[in-house]
Amino acid sequence: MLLFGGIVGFLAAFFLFVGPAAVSLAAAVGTSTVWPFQVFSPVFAIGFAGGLIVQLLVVLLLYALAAIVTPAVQGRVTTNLFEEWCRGALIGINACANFLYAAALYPAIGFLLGAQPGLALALVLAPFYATALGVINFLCVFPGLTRNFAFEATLGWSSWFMPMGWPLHLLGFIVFLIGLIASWFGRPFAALGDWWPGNIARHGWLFNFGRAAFTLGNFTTVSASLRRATPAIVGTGTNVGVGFGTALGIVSHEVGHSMVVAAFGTLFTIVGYIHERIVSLISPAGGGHAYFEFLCEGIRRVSGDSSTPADSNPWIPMWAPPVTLAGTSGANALPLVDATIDGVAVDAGVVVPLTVGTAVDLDASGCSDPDDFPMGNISPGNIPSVRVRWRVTTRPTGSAAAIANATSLTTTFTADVAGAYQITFAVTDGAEGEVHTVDLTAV
Amino acid sequence: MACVIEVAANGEALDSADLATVLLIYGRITSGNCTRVRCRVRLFAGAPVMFSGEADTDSNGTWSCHFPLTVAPLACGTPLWVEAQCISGDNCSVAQTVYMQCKLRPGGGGGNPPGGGNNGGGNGNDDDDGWQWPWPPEIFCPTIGRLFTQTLLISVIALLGGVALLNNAVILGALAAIGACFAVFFGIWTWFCQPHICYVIGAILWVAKRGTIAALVLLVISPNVAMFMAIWGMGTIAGVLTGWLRRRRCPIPSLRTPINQLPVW
Repeated sequence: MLLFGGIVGFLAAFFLFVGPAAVSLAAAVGTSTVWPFQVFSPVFAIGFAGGLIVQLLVVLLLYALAAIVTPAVQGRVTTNLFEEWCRGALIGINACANFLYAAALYPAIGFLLGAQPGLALALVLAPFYATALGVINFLCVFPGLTRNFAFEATLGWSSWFMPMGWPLHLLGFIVFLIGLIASWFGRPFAALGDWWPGNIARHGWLFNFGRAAFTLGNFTTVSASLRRATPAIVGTGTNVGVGFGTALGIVSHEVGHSMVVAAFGTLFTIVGYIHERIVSLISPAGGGHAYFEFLCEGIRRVSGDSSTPADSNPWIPMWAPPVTLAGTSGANALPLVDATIDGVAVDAGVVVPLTVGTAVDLDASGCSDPDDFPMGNISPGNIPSVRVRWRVTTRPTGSAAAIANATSLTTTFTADVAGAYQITFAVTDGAEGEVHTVDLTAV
Repeated sequence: MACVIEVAANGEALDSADLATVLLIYGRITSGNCTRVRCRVRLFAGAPVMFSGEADTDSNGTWSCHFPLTVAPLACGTPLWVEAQCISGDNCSVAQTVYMQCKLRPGGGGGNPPGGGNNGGGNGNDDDDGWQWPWPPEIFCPTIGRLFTQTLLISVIALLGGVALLNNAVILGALAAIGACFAVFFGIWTWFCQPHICYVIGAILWVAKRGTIAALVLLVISPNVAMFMAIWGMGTIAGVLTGWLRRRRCPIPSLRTPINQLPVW
């Protein structure tokens, strides 16, 4: 049904609104400097704007229909044929728009970049760009592809060149630039490139408050507190880093937004964002119950895994992360976790009782790496096969308690104030690992 | 003038208990000039010298000393205090703890090492196990792996330069160089050294990442729509390879990892 909807959406867009708009755009661009056709440029520009408005209205209608027939439930959302048809049509419309607008704009871009030689080259390459972008976008109607890591990487990188994503990419770049310039004046700023989807993630000023993350095009912004709250394994070699890991945790949800921008375009994203804001205001469940968010959330969940916890926000299995299921074979085995806090396993899921002023043992000496890779294979020299990091992520007010040696396999922790603590334990084999959070109560 | 010595340790000729009966201390002169190295091995800093030997460096600056462990075989991963000092050439030395690896030779099993005795050996020339190269694999394999990676990077940048200049001759030459790089260096590296698949893909990813950045720089210098395609292509390759590595829980090389720290064997 996705394919059927995609074909209908593409053809409708081609003949009814995107096609005429693209012709107007090409005419406006092509005649804007050629006498005596300048007089027609405003007319063509209005024609393009009109087509864009009609496209927006069609997207709004299809989005509303899809959202109405897809009620929010916790966990995986069961879709129906009508929702799939609407989703396919939205993809088809965006694919048509990317195809036609690229065909109209790339010659102009080529002309701007390099006058005559540039224009000649652009005229040769524009059909290739247009066709490739349109095809890659249209292929999003096939779930087998959208859940394939290689296609997702191709889609993510292609998004940079899709005209329907440019407004959001530009906005995201401006936000990124603001943070970068602010860092020259002492404001906090850090950036990370996620090469898999072709994203750039940053955190710091101006959005370093609360727990939030948002995506504009291929630019993701993560609040600083969010970075601390969702530790993930980052880093290779001898260093275990605790930071915002892409394809893990909440930032992977933002990668889902980037994929949605690529597949559905700016207009859909604007409509979806407005819906999310409305839902967050009127629904106790929050913005995650907007249809728009269902599509993004899926990338955090392993598609087809019926055992995914049902307490997750609603998700539609359109995307999948490039992470293997636990236990399946890969080129590198996960480290085995055998760590305890005062004799209680870190993955036991129980609250560990503490006594103020009494040191408890943090013991990860049982952790090992079954294949001793990659630590055992690093040249030159050989080093212990796992690295660990203990971190106190929550303390009661007035507490300054800290881990005696945060990166040691065996260390101690002493609570100094009564109350609730939380210790995060991370273990890595140099490439992958696990993070466990343990709650403790000191009396 | 000062030189710089890298040093490492490898255990070879494992016995039935998987204990190494031969200790190989090897390394490379990474900068400066040194033609002969003295190596000493202690159990820990300040302990009596267990082994001492001297070895000549080859044209690549690599050297190795072999010591028998038949009396007291060592377990893989044993930390040793190793001192290496240039005794002919520039002035440099290194003294540090290294863990004795037990990287098996390609094809499985440790062959009998060349040379022997407390004075150690030279560069080594081992015909066992079909090993065709004069240098031991612990030295040859990282070198050939990095040679492939560097050559591929240069060829890719040449290709991108050709696209930026819209010069078909440069483009074709670069494509031929890429082909030759894979045919020769990649073929030798993967056939003889059998590096871990994570490292093979990781090396190509490292080149793709740097190629993408180079394409972005070239786009600024020589903007044309063909450079868009170059960035698109390089970035997509990097993205696909990153996803492949992530899916298999492989270590993912950073863009900023220097070539001499890139794990290739």
